Amino acid sequence: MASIDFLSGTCQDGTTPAQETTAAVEFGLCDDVPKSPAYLDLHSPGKWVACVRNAKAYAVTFTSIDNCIEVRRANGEMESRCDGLLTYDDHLIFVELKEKNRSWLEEGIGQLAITIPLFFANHARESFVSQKAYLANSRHLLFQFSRTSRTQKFQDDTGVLLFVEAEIVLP
Amino acid sequence: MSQLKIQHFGPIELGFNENDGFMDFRKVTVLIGNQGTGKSSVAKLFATMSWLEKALFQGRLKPTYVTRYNRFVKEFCAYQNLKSYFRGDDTVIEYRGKAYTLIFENNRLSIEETGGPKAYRVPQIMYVPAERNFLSAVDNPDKLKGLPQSLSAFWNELSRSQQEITDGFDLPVGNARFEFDKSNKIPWIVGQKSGGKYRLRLSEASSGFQSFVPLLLVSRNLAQSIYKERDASRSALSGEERKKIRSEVDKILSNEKISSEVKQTALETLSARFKNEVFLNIVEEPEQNLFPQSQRAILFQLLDFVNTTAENELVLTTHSPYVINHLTLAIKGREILDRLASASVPQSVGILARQKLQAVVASTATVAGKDTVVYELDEKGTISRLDTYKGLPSDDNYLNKELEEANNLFADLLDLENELWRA
Repeated sequence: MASIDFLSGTCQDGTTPAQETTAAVEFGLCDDVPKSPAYLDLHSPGKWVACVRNAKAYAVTFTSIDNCIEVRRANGEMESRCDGLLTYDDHLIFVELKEKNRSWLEEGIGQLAITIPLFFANHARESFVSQKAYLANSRHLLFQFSRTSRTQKFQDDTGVLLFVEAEIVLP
Repeated sequence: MSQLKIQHFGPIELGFNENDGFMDFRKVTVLIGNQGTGKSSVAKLFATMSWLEKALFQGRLKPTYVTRYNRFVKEFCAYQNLKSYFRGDDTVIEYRGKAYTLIFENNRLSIEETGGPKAYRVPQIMYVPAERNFLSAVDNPDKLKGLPQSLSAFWNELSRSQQEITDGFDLPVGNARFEFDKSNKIPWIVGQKSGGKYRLRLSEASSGFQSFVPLLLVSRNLAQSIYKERDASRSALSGEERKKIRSEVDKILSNEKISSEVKQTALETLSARFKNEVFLNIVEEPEQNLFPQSQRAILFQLLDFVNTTAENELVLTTHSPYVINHLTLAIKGREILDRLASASVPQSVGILARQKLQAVVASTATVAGKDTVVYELDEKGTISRLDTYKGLPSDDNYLNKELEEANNLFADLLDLENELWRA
């Protein structure tokens, strides 16, 4: 497979910007435009699927992946990918955003689990001091349930710690 | 490890869907399922079969006594109120223990020695009924008439545990302590709250205390007494001594010159020589009336007790997703402990890691995934084993899925709201 630069700053169409950076202490991640990349938003909390709490005001970059970076399977079909990733000070957070009632958990975990090894095949794992993955669903904010065995399997498969929650708190 | 197969009994139809229907009972066995799916039936039958195996092994009952006149149904299963769960010729129950196999089919029980009595450890069997808080809610359970037999047996053990307590003990929840006034037979809860020290009769305490204090008191007393007696009992039970006791039992039973009453007394005296070697604790709904944090504390205590002696076993029925989640912590904790023990980790790192682990789950309450099994019972009368991932119970268990279902249903309501008013 040809190498893919996930962090080039531009989508593979060569024109659409793939990255935005903010130091806001609170911002959102949205994915409400069909066939378009997910994006960072400062002003419309009603549209946020995930909310990022950035109390230390790091310069945080959101990089779009789905509908931006193309990855093809051997048979030519488009590979399933997660929506994007957050980076700040060599910390890395993969993000998948959902607005779905059912079947979102397995689907979202699957997208993250496919994207993470693809990313590390192209960017050195060692260059990031921490690696996490967040799966957020704007429709499932209320009732918590256990994800212990899934989290263990995800960690074993990807080497990345999984969080299923819509609030991403940067420590 | 004992095995039990149950078919066409009460709400159970085809029963366990693997291993020719035989469920393994491991160090920790958990039964989950909706109301009326048969969790308690499985727990009670396992208690009954284990009790029969013990009585047969000790010679307190002869196989012919147990198998004749439908006593298995009318006497031994009636004890646990299971008599009306039998469905004529359709019911199949087969118990495979280390000393005996008991098979109930075609409406009759047969008993076979399994040839492995050396591996058999005499269990102290305690069935802790869901109604245990009733015993705490009244001041003199001694005076109650007409208690179910299993509750009455639990009361006897509870009463004994209260009398044997020397100096009270700290309870794992509520910053409180249990004390027992032996002369007036009054159980007390003594605690500290922001308003100062308080002292309440157990009958006046909250329902949570009324549920878990009897459970902990009996479990603690039995686990400790077996642990203390274990070394002494080992030699007394080995080889020749067992044979000798067995022949003495046979002599008493076959002696036609003594009355059955005298026989019973002689057998009881003799059976006391078979000290209990392990503790089989069968607990209905340990979470009863408890806040989640307290459920964790009680579960970890029960796991601590099951770990006091190598071959102790714990069987739980539960409706609580927390019990499964907290059991998962205990399993993961053991995995980390085992890895720490086998890996070459610098001593200081190891000490710190153990301290961090201890803050989550005490090492004495951890349990290996391979020693744990969770069974799910459904409305169709089927029993299935919950999948595991590296020994951890799967998130896809009935209790957890029901929590997730609340999310799904809430999302449906959001949809409905949007349909109605967003346009």
